[in-house]
Amino acid sequence: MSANAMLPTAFSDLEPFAADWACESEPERYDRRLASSMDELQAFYDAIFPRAKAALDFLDTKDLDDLSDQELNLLRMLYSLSTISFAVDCFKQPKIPDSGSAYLRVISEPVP
Amino acid sequence: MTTAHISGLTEAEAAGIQTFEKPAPGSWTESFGLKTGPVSFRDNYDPAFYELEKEAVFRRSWLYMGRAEQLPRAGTYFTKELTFLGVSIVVIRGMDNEIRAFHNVCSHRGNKLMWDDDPRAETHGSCRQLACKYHGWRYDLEGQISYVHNAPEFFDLKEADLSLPKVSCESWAGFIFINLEETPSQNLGEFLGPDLVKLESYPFGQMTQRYVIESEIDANWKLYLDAFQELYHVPYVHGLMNNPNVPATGIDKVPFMVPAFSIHGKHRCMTSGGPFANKKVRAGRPVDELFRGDFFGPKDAPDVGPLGDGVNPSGIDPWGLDSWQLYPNLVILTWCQNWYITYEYWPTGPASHKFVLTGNFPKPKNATERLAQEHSFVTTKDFTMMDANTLEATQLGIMSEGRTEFNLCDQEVAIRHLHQVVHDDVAALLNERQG
Amino acid sequence: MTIELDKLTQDEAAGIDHHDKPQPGTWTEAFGLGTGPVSLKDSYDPAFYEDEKIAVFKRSWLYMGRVDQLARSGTYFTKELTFLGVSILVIRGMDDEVRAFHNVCSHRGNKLMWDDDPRAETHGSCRQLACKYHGWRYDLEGQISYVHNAPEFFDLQEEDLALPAISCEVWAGFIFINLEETPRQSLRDFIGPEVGKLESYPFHEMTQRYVMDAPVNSNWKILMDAFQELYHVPYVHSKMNNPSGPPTGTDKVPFMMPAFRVFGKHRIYTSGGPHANEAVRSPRPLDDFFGSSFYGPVDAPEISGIGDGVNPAKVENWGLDSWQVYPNLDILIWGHRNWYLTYEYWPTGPNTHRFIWNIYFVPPKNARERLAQEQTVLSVREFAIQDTGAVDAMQEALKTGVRDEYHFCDQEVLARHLHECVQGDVDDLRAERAGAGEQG
Repeated sequence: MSANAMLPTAFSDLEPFAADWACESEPERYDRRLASSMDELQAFYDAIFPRAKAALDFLDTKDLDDLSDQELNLLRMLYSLSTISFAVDCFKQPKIPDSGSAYLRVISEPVP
Repeated sequence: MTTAHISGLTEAEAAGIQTFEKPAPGSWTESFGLKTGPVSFRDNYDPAFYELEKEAVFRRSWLYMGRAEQLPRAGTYFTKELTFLGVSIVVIRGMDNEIRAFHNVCSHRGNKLMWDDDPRAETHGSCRQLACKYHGWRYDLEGQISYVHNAPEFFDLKEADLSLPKVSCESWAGFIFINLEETPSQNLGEFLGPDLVKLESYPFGQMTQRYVIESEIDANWKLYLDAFQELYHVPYVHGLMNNPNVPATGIDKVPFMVPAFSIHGKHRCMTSGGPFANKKVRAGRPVDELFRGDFFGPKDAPDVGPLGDGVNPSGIDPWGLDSWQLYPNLVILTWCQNWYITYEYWPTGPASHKFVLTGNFPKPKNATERLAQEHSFVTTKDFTMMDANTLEATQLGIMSEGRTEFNLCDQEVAIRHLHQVVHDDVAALLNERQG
Repeated sequence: MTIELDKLTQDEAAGIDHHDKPQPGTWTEAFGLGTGPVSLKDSYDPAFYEDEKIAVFKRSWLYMGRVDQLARSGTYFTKELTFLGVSILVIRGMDDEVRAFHNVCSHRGNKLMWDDDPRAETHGSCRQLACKYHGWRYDLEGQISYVHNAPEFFDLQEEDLALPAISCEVWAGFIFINLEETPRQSLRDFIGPEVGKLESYPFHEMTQRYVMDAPVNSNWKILMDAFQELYHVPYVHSKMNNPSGPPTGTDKVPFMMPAFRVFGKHRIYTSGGPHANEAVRSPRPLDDFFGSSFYGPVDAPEISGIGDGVNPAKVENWGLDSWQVYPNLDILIWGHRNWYLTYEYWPTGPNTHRFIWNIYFVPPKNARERLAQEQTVLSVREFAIQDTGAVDAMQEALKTGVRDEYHFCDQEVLARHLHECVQGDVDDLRAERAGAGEQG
């Protein structure tokens, strides 16, 4: 295990996806969704969904306001799962169909 | 298939539809005293109407500025740019804990008082005094002058003349409003009316976990309001979100019906079954179960105590949501899962507006609750995006004047009401001017 | 070295192609046009632009596209006339008729047919036209066929819900619309008999299509002017025609036009074929290799004939007919090389427009033919970029408004004619307004 691991050891299997998907903010997660191919989105979804419940159970034992960097990254990966789920489940494409150039900018979100 | 189905339902529509009783004499529209004929949508693009609307509607109504929680203690403030009216408002909590509003203008030579790097952008912060960056004049938190730089150089300055120009400011249920009239023709409580005032008892103050979205939309402000005050569009615009396996359009779909509409003076409310409604035509997704949340909110709603006697004005059962449309441009949507959304629609031109959405939850106690909220919020955002782009297409279509008369059905009564009220306000203004 | 403003220099005189002029000695006078200086205020003034939109574009037949784009029932395309604030839906019905409608749903005015971006054009094929907002549907003739949750409405009348129809007629396979309530002329009358005869040309045999669509920084008429004279060719296109000669700053051999004609508001020039102006053009090695050039593939494909509309002036060395159909459509028929192209110039502002070209060939039978066509298209594009670059600079200078008088020579007669027709339409509109007591 690398000393530079982004995720807690118990979730090292998700490490390959951490650099891309442990984004700090919603706008970054959403941009990443738009910039990814469906293959990439599906690969991430397939890797993290089976492990998501375990991740939640693990994070539930921690204080939200006192997470380590690695725990925070894991939490953010779950936010990313939420963000990409629409593309994978509903639209079969990264972008919302018929959305043209419409955008909604999240300018404030809770941290973590 | 060439016969127009304009009198009955098709078979596909009839299957699974949830219907609700209508009030006497048989339609919401008629029960509210509204006419049923076609309407013009000129008010959505005509530049002359836009100018009148600014005066008749926005300069004569109570306008929503923000939440009390944005001003947690004395000295906290935020500014609100009402660019279309050419004013900037500073809202500030004084030493006495009162919330006041002022024109954001220095009394010396008119410089903008509170701003950051970009004088056109909104700002917020905390201070002991309000200080002008130009010549250093200062004001206390109640807007009184407290320091004039090199004062002896002036002639006959009177303290009383140097206060920041006050703007009428009142709060209700933690929502801060201002009124730009010299003397407001009604106080806030009178403007809101008794039914909305009762909503004060709803625990808004417990829902401080907040998300904020902004966007610039190339459509008249009323078009977006209209999109959210009917469910007629839901099977088509949100088809793929509700049921990914079925084509979004081009086929007959089961209609969504609204259980109850209610009119409260200039305001209106749409009450619906939320998660309890239209179950036959909605398909949940695995992530909804994983995160225990969806469009309707966290499935395991936290306890926030009693919801008060303002919710569910029409007394439907089961109750899913109230979408209160506060005239002119604020929507407060309370969900049965104990969170609420606000929408604001600020004109920036006859065919454009700034849209602000906030999602407000009780503080999450752990990661599971946090994720349920995140997932609900992000779902709301994807839904909202689908509406946003459609509006720009609608604006183009209306402006082409290929058609100039439009038919609204009974499920679209709230649209009819909003446009009627706006028209009435504009007509009243024109009458005054002629008289 | 005094400039003699009415004589050719020696260098110019060498190698020039001469052509007869009609009585009384110039094309300009033969067409009844004045010969004095011309104001070009019509090509940058915002007030003129607003009047032109109505006087010209809301009162003329406007070109939308080819019938070949509507292969069978249910095929459609949209055309965004953004400068007029309208979107047009053109569709082939079950009865095979081509119709046009305002692209607006009868319910709450949403745009009816569009893809992802509501401002972009779209095309496709469907059994019904469906609105994405509340699911209303129309048949291919624009009649309402489905209203979602219909019982919720009050007094809907079927006939009120039809898509708003727009006058739509077809000539020679070209689809036109007219935005007037009742067009003052049928399309055929608008086109006129001489231009009308072009319908005998086998456009429908040339279905191999290239489309180029770009914004240009000039008034729509300024680029159209560039394409209705050859006076600019020795200078703007010198590097294409004669790469080893200096581009400007020297006297050049003029290109002369064999024939012009004016037919009502429309006009045409007919120029010489590939052997015209040979003295001042040098072929390029790749033209030989590909077997084609700006004039088209040398091995022209077989077509069923050229009809009786082309080359109305019966020019012997017939190379090219450039028909300028008022207001903003050019149809260029390339002599015996058997291909054609169209240019459209759509205003987007007083100083800008959208330029669309479509180039059509007989479908190629093999790689050699395919490459010959490709070489032609790319040659045309190189020339066109030289022109759009030139007019970009021209518009910058024109719009300063520092001059009000410009000079058109006899070789530029067609440009003079276009501006005169446009000015005439605008003058008519203004006169109507003054007559009706409105502010002018």
